[in-house]
Amino acid sequence: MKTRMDSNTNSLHKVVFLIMLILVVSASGGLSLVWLRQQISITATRSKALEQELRILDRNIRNLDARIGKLHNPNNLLRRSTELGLNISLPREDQIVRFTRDERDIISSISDSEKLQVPGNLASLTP
Amino acid sequence: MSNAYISTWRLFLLAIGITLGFSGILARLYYLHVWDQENLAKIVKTNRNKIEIIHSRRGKVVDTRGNLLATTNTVIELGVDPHVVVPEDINKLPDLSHLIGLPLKELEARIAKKTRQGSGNFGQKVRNNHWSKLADKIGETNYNKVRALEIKGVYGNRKFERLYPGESLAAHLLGFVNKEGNAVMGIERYMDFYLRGQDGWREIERDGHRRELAQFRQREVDPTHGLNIELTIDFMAQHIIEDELNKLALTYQPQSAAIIVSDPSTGYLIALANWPTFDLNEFWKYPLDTHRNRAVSDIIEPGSTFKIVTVSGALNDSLVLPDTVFDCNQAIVEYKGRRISLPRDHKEYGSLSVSEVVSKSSNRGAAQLGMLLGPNRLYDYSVAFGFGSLSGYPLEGETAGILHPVREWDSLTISRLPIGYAVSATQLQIHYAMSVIANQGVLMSPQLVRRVFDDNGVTIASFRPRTRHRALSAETANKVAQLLIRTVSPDGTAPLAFIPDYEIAGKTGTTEKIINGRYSSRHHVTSFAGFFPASNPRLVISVIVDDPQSSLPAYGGNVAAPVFKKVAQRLIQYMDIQPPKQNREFYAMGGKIIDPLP
Repeated sequence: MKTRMDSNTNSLHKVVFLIMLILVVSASGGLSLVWLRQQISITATRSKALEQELRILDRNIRNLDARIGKLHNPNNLLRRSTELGLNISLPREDQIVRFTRDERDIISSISDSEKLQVPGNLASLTP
Repeated sequence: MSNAYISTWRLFLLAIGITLGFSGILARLYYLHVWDQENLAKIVKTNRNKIEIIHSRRGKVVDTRGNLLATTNTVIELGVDPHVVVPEDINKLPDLSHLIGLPLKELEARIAKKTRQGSGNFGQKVRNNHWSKLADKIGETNYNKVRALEIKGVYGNRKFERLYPGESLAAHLLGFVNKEGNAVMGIERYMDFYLRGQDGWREIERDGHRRELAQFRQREVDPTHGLNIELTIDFMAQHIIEDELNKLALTYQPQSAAIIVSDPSTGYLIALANWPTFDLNEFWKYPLDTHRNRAVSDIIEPGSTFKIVTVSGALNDSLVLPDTVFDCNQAIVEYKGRRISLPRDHKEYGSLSVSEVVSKSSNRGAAQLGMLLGPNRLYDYSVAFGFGSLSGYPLEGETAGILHPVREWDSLTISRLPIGYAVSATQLQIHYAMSVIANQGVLMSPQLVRRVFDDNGVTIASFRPRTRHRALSAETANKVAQLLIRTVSPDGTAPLAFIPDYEIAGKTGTTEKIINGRYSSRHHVTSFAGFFPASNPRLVISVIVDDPQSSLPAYGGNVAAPVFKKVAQRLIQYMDIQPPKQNREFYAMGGKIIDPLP
């Protein structure tokens, strides 16, 4: 009698264990799936944020290019020159000094200390 | 007695209640899933699923040195969802109004408008308004300020906008893209295939707040951005000629004027400008008339600049030499058994050599040269110099001009065509005819695009110089170039174009305009086309001024030639064109300028 009861108890324990195992596996499987989906969602959101950053950078570069383009507009440069009182103008022909190849050779043979330290372009000097 | 006893009628009521409740739910489910399924599924699909277009960015246009001429900028279209705006933010509206330049009352009215007429797609005549536009385009800086106000429901959508940093610079060459995004004219239209790119798209799902659920992105196709275009135009050279045109317009108030600069050996256009012009960023504010590229679309009688064709033809066929003399006093000559009256000269020249006919621009001398050449050869040379046919200018609007075949000539044409009447041409044709002389007798096609390249600078397509044909021998071209140098000498018609040491060669032109069907002696089209240095031409420049207002008689020599000189002088400095003959060369040393070869 006792042996049969023990046997029944063992069987019950086995069934309970099996049920518990199934529940644990199902729950952990379900939770893993949720976790996986969450990770996919997080990764997708991060990826989207990075794409957005790239777009912003690209946009900023473009906008910067446009601003530089506007600043380089000769009319704008002339306007700024007037505003700042720089009085800049293109050099005239009589302000330009030209060298021939032979003369460059002569200059290169002169030591550096003898050469004139001409600040900037000679052509920009006013007469 | 059991405590679990429940009266029968209560149990009945409960059962009825539960049954009705479930029936209601079932009925609702039936309505949602069966009865109105199609319509509701459509609404859900519309709200949740969306195919998002990822717009491609239009390529940029740069000049030959990489300076930006046209680019695509991002601007923000600002709007508000009136349902989201909270009363606490109302006091921020004056600041918003100030930032976006919208009157406060108008702003308040747009926020107050919470409904709008529905499109009727889902049977709703009045729908909630979730978007009222507040500003068509604001920049990033302003948008950041707007966002800093933190007004709930105010947000912006980014969109691309075409921007031309140079404003009116090279307006007639660049063209523009209109508000609908269509390339209307100029390079924008001609190179639209390369510039426009291809939009991408992605299938997305959104939540109840219309935010994208990134994890449900399905298919995605990246946009292909437009390619970039490098022009042959030089930004600074273009500015120089536009500046000179503006000065000319202030002085002479002409009806119109245009300047073209090109490289004779390649046919590359370096600069081309018309006056009046317009701002590409605000093209809609200017009359349509200003959009016309007159240098390629308007035809004029070339006048004396056409004499280069007559003289070149006669020299090329070895009919005359530069020192062959013609009697330019005679008003009537015998030609093929007919008496032909010769056109008048400005004064009695007497006998002139061919060289002097060119330098003094004698009409009678040129007419006699034309007669010597004969109608067929004169016509052939006119065609060879590019008159009467399209030059191959790549953009729209070019006209071929008028050059009648010999069979349609009247008795006067043989004496009028050699001096540039009885023929109509565009400035571009006149310019490229002069280039024939500068380019050793070869006629080139105008070229405006140098290459197409991608964002990494890799060349996708390059555009090489295009030769049309040889019009005359190199030897003749050199001879004519030498004759044209005399035009700019003190005894020529254009001493005002003279620049020491630079061997300026050119030809003036002055034609009377036809007013009310008759040639007017008060209204002229003045022109000057020339090149330099004659022994090794670097630039061809042509200037045409239509009806300049002047107290003195307006001729090519006193209106167009000085402009040529100013443009040439500025371009010499900018492009570092060296004179062919350097008599004295110096270098700087020891604080003073010394002569290295005393």
